[in-house]
Amino acid sequence: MARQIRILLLGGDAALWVGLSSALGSRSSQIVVPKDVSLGDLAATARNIDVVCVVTNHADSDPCAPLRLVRQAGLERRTVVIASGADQRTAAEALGMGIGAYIVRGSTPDRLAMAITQVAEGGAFYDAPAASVLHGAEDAQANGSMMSAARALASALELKDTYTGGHAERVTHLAIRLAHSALLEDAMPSEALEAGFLLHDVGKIGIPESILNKPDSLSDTERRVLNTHPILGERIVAPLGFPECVRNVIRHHHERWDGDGYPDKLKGEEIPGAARLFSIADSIDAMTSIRPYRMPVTFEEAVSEVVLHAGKQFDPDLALLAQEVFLNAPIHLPVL
Amino acid sequence: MTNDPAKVLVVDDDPDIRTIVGLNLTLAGMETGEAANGQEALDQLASGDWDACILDLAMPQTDGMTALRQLRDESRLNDLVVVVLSATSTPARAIEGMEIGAHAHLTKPFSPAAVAGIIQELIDLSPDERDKRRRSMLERATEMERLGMTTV
Repeated sequence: MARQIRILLLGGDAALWVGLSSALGSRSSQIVVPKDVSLGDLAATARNIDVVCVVTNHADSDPCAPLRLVRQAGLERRTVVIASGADQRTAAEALGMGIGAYIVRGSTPDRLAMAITQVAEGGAFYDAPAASVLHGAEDAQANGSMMSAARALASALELKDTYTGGHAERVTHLAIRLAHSALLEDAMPSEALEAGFLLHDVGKIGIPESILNKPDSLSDTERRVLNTHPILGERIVAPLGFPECVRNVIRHHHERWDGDGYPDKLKGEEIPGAARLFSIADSIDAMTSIRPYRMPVTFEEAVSEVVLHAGKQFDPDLALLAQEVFLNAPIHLPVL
Repeated sequence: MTNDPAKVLVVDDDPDIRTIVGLNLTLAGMETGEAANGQEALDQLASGDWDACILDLAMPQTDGMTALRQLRDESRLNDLVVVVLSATSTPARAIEGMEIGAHAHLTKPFSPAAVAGIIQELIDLSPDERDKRRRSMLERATEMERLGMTTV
């Protein structure tokens, strides 16, 4: 059951307090608003506080001053920054300090509640527009900085999922190599396709950490909750205006050629090309990575394993192509 | 309050939302059912012993607001916990739902893992406490609207 969240609110005004309590209305919470705070006070109250909300004002001569205070008190991972406007300097400094969440004032109460809840539970939350602000990209599509937005989102996920260090970048590299050789009509190499590869697991942001980082095997229900991440991911990127290939990779990268995958149990070429191609790269990287529950296999063994499962888990043509691309082995061409 | 698992009906025309919310409730040890529109929800709620209902407001045929009005007319369902879902979060919308008798209002996108906690907390309250909380939230939302605030 959700327990009470204790919040220390620094800066801000009555309107924000009303908004905050309303946002958390259904979660029991206690909001402390001190008149004036010194480092000593902060360190002393830290033990009784779950989340510190710091409201920064870009009109101040030094908007980040209160943030440095929370950092000195060692509270940065438990801090939610509520920033006024699209203030790039504050965003950069705040994220550089390793604060737990960054949200722009003007976000809906529910998003704020989500950020606070995530941080209270030890997670992180970066408002998508805020994350792109950091990388100087306010509109993912308009100014061609889709990759910056995608990287920011992907790195938000890495903070949460301890087993996947560097996985997104590695798998993207493999999948792009395969895309360059495959030249599928709906998976032509492009920045958008790369963004899709990088963001394939972004839906895991919505999966409880107790499931993501569980060292033992998952129960049936836990497994089914984990398997909703492609659906959640598609919803997370939907408002950002990414092209279709991005949504296809995110939603369908766990489908299988034989129709036994998820979430939509698509079969064969019903599965978008970008997702068919990506699932091969994804499996190779998973097999060659160190995981707590098994030993990694060599790259060559992983590719052979993919070929072994061609026509079952993987697109048979793409599996053979992967063998050629990654192991430089000739493809056995069928006689026409 | 009993020790039986809470029984929650998830009502949304979007099957993805039903799946995601339903699974997160199951993970929290609750029993769940699904309905794809307001009428289906009313039919299911009429039979069976439900503790709570998560109700999407925008649905084809009988929408959530209509269903909410009808189920509040059923005295047998007075103790049912109702959480409404919507894609917009204007205070006016929240006020409308809470006036009719919703206990909480969630705006999409919401954290699916948090829903079970919200439901459990509401179920654990007595009907009187629940109604008291609903009225105090209604006051706050009305205050927000008076201040002209649609967002935080």
